[in-house]
Amino acid sequence: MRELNAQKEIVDIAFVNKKLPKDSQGLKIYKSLVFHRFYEVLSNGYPIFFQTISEKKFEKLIYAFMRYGAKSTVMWKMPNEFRKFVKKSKVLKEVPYINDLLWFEWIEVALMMKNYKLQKKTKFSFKNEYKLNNNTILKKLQYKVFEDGSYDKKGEYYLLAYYDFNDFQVYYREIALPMYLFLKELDKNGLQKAIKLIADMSDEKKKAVKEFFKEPLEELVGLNIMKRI
Amino acid sequence: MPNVAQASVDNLKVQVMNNIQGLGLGLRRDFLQEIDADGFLPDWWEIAPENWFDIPYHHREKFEQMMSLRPTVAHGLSLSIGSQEPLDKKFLKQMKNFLDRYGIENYSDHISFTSLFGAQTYDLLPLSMTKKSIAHMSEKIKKVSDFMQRPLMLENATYYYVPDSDMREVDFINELMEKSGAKLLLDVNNIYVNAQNHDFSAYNFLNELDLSKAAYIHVAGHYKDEDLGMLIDSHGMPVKDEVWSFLEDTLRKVDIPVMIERDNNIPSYDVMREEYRILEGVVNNART
Repeated sequence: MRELNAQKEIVDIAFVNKKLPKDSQGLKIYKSLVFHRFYEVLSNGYPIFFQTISEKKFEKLIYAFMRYGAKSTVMWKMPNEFRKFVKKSKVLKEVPYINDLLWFEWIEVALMMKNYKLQKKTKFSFKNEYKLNNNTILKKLQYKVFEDGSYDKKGEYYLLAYYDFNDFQVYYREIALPMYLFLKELDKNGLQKAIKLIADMSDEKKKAVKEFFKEPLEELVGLNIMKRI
Repeated sequence: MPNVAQASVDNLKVQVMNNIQGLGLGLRRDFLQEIDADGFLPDWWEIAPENWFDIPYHHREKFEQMMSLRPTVAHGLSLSIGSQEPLDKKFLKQMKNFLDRYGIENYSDHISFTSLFGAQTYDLLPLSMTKKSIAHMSEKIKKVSDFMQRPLMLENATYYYVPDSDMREVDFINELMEKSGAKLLLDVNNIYVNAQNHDFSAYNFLNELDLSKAAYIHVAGHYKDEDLGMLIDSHGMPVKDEVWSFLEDTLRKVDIPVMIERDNNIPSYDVMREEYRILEGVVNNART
């Protein structure tokens, strides 16, 4: 029991934002080491968020998150737990775009760290079936968090985020609603259904829809954003 | 009559470090792409496995090449063997899969705890040095070794604060190694730092330590926190002269593999190679 109590004492001290007496040098070191581990990982994972929040508020949030409990044994996943904690606990409700911003920043890490298989180069054809590759995420956002200085602009924004296998970077593209709907349908029900959906919505013939999407789809296949199934 | 679990752990003991010889270096993502497979390579690598469970696409090929060129020790961070909570089975499974995938036979972690009631601290926290802690850890160590199908090695950690304890560190480590069957990852920088911070002789500590249980040695850097008046085991600085000297004395007592551990402020591979050359010199001095 005394062993457990000793462990509880250290963890409690590390997780609470409270100054320690002057003679507690050893505990101060642990408090500082644990805090800075979270601080470093979260400020690196969320650089835009880190710039938009005060140091004091950030510190308070870190302590609250530590007490909430980060579960991942793999440290790079901890910022995602932080993101979910902020969303669930609504601790930053005064920042309306916070959930979109944290998603936007997290997804870069998530796409970068995925265990991808070796990619094959293929050419697009309407005769084949496709779905979105696992290097790609489609997302509807309420705030323009992908544009510097426009984070609080409310609207409907459609974003395509993907990992580029050529230069090993994550890219974001704002896409139009028809393209968003097309890619969502393609991923769920295949290429032919996606063409039909857009044709029905726009009162255009399938041939015209194909003509309209041909060039972008060729590019998406070239970037391994769509993969043949 | 020994139980089945104990028997299987005993069988594993003979396999400790049998494919690792000479001098090692911590393989870090920061300089991975700088390594020329036809140029300088250490005798063996040590990796922090949790940092390689997920490998970015552009690092995978190089990492796998390095794993194929040199034997490797996995030195974990998150086992939390001393924690007063049960083992994390999901984590153990993930670790075993990783070690099996890359054919890594040697697995080590720390005599410390990093999580409590599922909440991670991401740091190595000190344990109560008591007989009960030893019994608790010994049971967990056996479970880990059996599950991993590998012996577990544990590093003597630094501590800046002594939680409710009634044993000296050296007695605690000796008894833990004896009771659990684990091997010791002897960190000479940690002995030096603890000796300075807690006012005891590093040399006396070394003389009392059961070195027959030591499997391999870590050497690393530290710095002094002037405000707190304590040495901090940062693993983020070059190795200090006094630690090189202590290593040399250690190597006169025990002939086992040695490696340089650098976890923070990681310099270029060229700089690490220079430090490796210093290590070669220290080892040669001690062994001639």
